[in-house]
Amino acid sequence: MTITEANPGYKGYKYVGTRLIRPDGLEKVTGKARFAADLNLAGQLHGAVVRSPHAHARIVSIDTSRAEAMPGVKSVITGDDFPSVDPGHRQYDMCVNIIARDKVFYEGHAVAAVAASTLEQARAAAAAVEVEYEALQAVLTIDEAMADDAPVLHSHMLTRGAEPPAEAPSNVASVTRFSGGDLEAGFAEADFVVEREFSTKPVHQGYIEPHACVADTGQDGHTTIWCSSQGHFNVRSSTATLLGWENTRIKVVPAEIGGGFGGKTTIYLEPLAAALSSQAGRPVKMVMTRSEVFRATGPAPCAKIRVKFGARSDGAIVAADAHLIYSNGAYQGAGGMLGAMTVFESYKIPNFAVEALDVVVNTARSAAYRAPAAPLTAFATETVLDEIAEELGIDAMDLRLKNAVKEGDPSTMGFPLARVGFAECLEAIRSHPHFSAPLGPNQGRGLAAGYWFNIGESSSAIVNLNEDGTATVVTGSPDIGGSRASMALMAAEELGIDPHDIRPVVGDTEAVGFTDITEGSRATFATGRAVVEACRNMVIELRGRAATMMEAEVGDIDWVDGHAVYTGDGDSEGKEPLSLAVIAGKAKRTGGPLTATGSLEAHGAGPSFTVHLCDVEVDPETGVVSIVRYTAAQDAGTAIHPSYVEGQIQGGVAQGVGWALNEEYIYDSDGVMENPGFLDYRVPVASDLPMIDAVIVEVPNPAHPYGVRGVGEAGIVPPIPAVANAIHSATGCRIRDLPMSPVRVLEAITAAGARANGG
Amino acid sequence: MAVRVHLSSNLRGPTGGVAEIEGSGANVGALIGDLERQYPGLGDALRSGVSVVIDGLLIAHPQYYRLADGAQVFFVPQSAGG
Repeated sequence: MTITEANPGYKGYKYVGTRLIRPDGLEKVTGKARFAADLNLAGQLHGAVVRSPHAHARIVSIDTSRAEAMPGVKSVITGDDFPSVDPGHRQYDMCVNIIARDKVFYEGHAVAAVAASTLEQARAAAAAVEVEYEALQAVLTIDEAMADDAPVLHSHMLTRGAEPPAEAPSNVASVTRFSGGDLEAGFAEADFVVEREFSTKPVHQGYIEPHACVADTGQDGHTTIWCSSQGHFNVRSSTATLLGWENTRIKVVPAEIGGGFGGKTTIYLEPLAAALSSQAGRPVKMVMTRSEVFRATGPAPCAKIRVKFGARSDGAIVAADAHLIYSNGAYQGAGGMLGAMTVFESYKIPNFAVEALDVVVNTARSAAYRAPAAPLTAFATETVLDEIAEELGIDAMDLRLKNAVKEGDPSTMGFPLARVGFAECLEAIRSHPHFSAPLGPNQGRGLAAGYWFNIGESSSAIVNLNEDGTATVVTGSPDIGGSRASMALMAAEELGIDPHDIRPVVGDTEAVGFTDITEGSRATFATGRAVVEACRNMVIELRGRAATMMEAEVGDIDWVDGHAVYTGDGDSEGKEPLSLAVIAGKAKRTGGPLTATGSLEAHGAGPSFTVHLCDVEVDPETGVVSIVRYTAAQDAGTAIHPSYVEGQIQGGVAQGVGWALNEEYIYDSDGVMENPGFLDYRVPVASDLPMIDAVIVEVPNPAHPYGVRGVGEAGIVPPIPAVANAIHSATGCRIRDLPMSPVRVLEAITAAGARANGG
Repeated sequence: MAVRVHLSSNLRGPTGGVAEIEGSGANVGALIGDLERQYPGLGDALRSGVSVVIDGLLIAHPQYYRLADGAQVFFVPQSAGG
């Protein structure tokens, strides 16, 4: 179901909004598509990484001599093979995370790497690298990290944002504070005040494809890297930074990507493979095991959150206070900052204060995960709003509608919001049949909302017309969620040709202009704008070629539905409309090949709001929670390809449900992860979920020619509170610690029963 | 160009907590230079990790973004994504 508000200037789209079969679909469903681990080169070596068994230790020595002498071994590297990096360097954390220098900061931290003729030889040699460690006390939790006598992980790390400025290092990386209005006066005005605490665990992005790459350094020192990532230009620059190379010494060729969700916005293997290849003079392939993916690549941060809300009896939220502490793993992260920016962003709250801390602990360096930090703040805000509605006897939907931000309201950061579709999403859920459907025994219903900013950044595109009138559209954005199809549809709309006649291609770092990482739900917005710009430049060229062919002035030529049409006042004889194919076929005689580019820094990313409704059934004897019905409405601005918008919404819900119910990193007392595999780390599978009804709301973003807002991230924000509120509806129990596993739910039910019985 | 500057609350240290100030500059980079002269330390705070919002447009890298006389310029933390 789609609810549409017309885009300003909308005259009816021919291709935008249709459900083109994805151009890469056949290759993917037949297994022909080549992901990073599918590539093999002649003479290729295999790499293996030596990883720390300690969560926190000083590296005393590394002896590689025994490994180097083993059969098939061609290259062994350690941190000493890379340039030193200053702690003040912008990418210091990334560099020392990829390969440790003097200390290791988590179990699984890379300390050396080996390349050998076979994978078995490489693994055997990696096991033969002798590393002497001086074990240090590990800091595993937020409380441990902030204890007065806590071991300090990074001796150079002073708390950013501290007032007065920090003079001594600590495990608190940064402090962020936002405020508005008069908090004390706001709470004084409130008829009902509630304060609650929440805790969560680290979770992994859970992409199916492990990190993998092949690096090949030629005789001239030029290196080609094939890998899957969310941004191959970033792979190039980050690899070059770590190796101390010029960017242009590296070409990165994007493979198909088997899921990223934020976790592939950074790199792990590529510099190691490039260094090994450079040393060995042979291509080197590296593929992480699933255990390595869990232990050494970024989980999402976990958090401890305390929020306090004050509401008047009419449901108006008049004051809110939040204290957020995000644990970002071994290095600095932005969890707290982003949490502070999102915790109250969906509601108009006149008096508020937020303090957010980012701390470091001895677990894997965290990485982005869809709408980073926002699912955790939504967990707090949306469940407390539910509690306020219940206390005040106000419908949970009405409470949200009363307080929802709209155009012109100030954001947490102070600027007035542009046009947003929050109220429209709330109304879409209220008018959905699900909202009033009856519930069965032991079932409950939860409502929750979410928000994500979305970003713009830089993108490039090239459009080439072929002699037969087909087109190739080259962009620098990896196709993670169906972007090829979206680019083809926007190009088809601009050029006026069938999208099946357009071949969308993801170009390597030498084939297309710089393009930022696919993050912040930016590809369809920003890269889409680059495609539109390239196509509009192409149309200018086509009109000129048509003018030449018609012997007319270019100002008298319009572009209408894929044809150059003469609109001048002169004699129109011999000036019949010319199709794109005809013009392309004569390009050699009218000025040469037809190619056009579009490159831009995309301003004006439009935020996306979303509202979810979840029905659960709770087994009172086991605590098992089953999702029985789920509806999600999200503002897409304009859905270029509705199926892929629905897919993004459904994917966000599935991952959010896993986060809510099952997923967590489990560490032993030494900081060793005990569940580094999908058998013990429980992500939802198809049989765990009902069909997720995705409702596309379209409130166009005026900063995109078709009104696009990003849709990739907001969908993961509401599921945790939607599930929590549904569990409360079914059982009467408020659970504020994740995951809401059967054990935890059963404990809550049992405790509630004991309280009811006077126990 | 004379503009009205709005600082998100985490950026108000150098202004002593003042949220709205006046500044001038042909573009955002020049404006930041002017603000640094008025409020020592504010320039450093605004040069990295900060975006601006002007006329409803979020601009991530605003140094050379041209300013119109009387513009409302909101400095806000840079967001990211996954």
